[in-house]
Amino acid sequence: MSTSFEDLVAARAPALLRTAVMLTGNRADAEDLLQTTLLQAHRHRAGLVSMGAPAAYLRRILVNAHLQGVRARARRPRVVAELDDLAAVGPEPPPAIGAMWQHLTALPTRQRAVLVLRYYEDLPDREIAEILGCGQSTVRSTAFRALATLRERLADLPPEEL
Amino acid sequence: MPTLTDDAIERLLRETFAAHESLADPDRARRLAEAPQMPQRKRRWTPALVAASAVAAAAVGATIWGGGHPTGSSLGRPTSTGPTSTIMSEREKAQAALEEKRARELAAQAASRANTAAAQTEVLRLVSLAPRVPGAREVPARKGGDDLFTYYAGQVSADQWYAVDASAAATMRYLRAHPPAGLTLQAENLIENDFPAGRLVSLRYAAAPTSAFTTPLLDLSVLRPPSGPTLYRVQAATSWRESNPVSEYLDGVTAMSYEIIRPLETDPGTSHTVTRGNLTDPVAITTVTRALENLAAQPRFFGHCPNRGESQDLFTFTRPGEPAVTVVARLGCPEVVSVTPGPGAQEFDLADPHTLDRVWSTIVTR
Repeated sequence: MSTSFEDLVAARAPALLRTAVMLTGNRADAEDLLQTTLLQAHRHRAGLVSMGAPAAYLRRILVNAHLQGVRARARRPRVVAELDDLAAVGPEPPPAIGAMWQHLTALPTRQRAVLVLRYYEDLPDREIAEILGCGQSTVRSTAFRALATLRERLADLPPEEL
Repeated sequence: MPTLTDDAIERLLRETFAAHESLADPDRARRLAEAPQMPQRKRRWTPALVAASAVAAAAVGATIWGGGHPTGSSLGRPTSTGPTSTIMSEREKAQAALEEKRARELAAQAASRANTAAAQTEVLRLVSLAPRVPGAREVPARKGGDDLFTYYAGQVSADQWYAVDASAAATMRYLRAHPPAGLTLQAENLIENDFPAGRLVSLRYAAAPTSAFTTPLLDLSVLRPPSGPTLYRVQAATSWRESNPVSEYLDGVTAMSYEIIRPLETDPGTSHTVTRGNLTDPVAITTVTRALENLAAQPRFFGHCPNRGESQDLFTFTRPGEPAVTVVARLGCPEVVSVTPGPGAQEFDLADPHTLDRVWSTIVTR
């Protein structure tokens, strides 16, 4: 039995939303990003359901929609966190995790995307390079710069909180 | 200060991502209890809202014209305080426009809130209609995978999982034997579920749509996990409607063209007939524009429709000095009237294309 577009997006939407949260840092922007992704996917639905790795293609749309949409989103007020967001994370995350999330949010979009794909999605650099349309060496150097920035910014944390 | 090793940073990164996964799966009951945070389209304004804003604008104008007079006594007497106070300065006009815009926004927000509240009430009503399998125990909302996918903007939904000791087949038999009162069985589906993993057997019931929300759906789904008791889910959803903004774009229409597209019965997927023409009769044009203004707004459809060769009515309204407005009434899947106010403008959707088609059929014989 062939998979329909509805089946595909229904199966993948929760995972895409989780990745979108990691990319955007908050639920409101993540839901916007998911909608944009699914709209784009819908335009290519005929090819999408017949291709070999539709999940990877959807993820690629998501990441690139995020990278392309950052400039547009920067012009409007940005949601830092909603009450639901705060409640979902819990009353007070451990200091190191809270600090890491804050510093991740401050990273350049592309650097953050590389970290999300590498350490949240656990993708190899080859696949990350395909998604971002760059070489593997660019992925490695971007990740290196992002980790260096985080290391520098987390240096203020007391050792006992790490 | 010790420097973090790569391993330590990577571990902290993974822990940080994991700690924030829950942002993607908020408890839907809590969402319903509070104001929902739905993605919303850019709003436009209906005649009622324009009327409300006109009142606000009149009040602003009265204040400006009246100078130091009380607002009530100055209404209707704009010239009584002399020529310099009867002419609004550019700044005052800008201020009035701002106030008018604000009044429109407030009125639109109020209308949307009312529709949202009605949708929330309907969703809770549907959940309350669901049969409760004997011995069923409520279980916490499942985390991480079984979210209802939003096919429409402005969707409101609620769900509740239950655990029962009966078999999945017996649970489904009970649900089938106790249909929710007043609802119509629409479909029976098989759905692959992420978490808990497995195949859901789902009964879908529909209630009646209103001007405030689209067709409400109630899904009763049964899942037999690899271990543990049988689970079933009660899930209700609908989408609240925004106001129909079409009247803003149809003032001063002087002509319209049309294309009536109908598939050939012998080859509906690829062959069709097209009837084209133009209209300048003001009465006929007004009949069509009124019909459009009376349709309910419809949230955007994000789902998939197979190509079966659907019938369509296409209209283009010409306005002197303004961009042409195009309207496509899709009579198949999805059943929707799509309106594009001008080149590059944001498209919006209205419901019930068949009503528009019926009105249209009284004007031009197909």
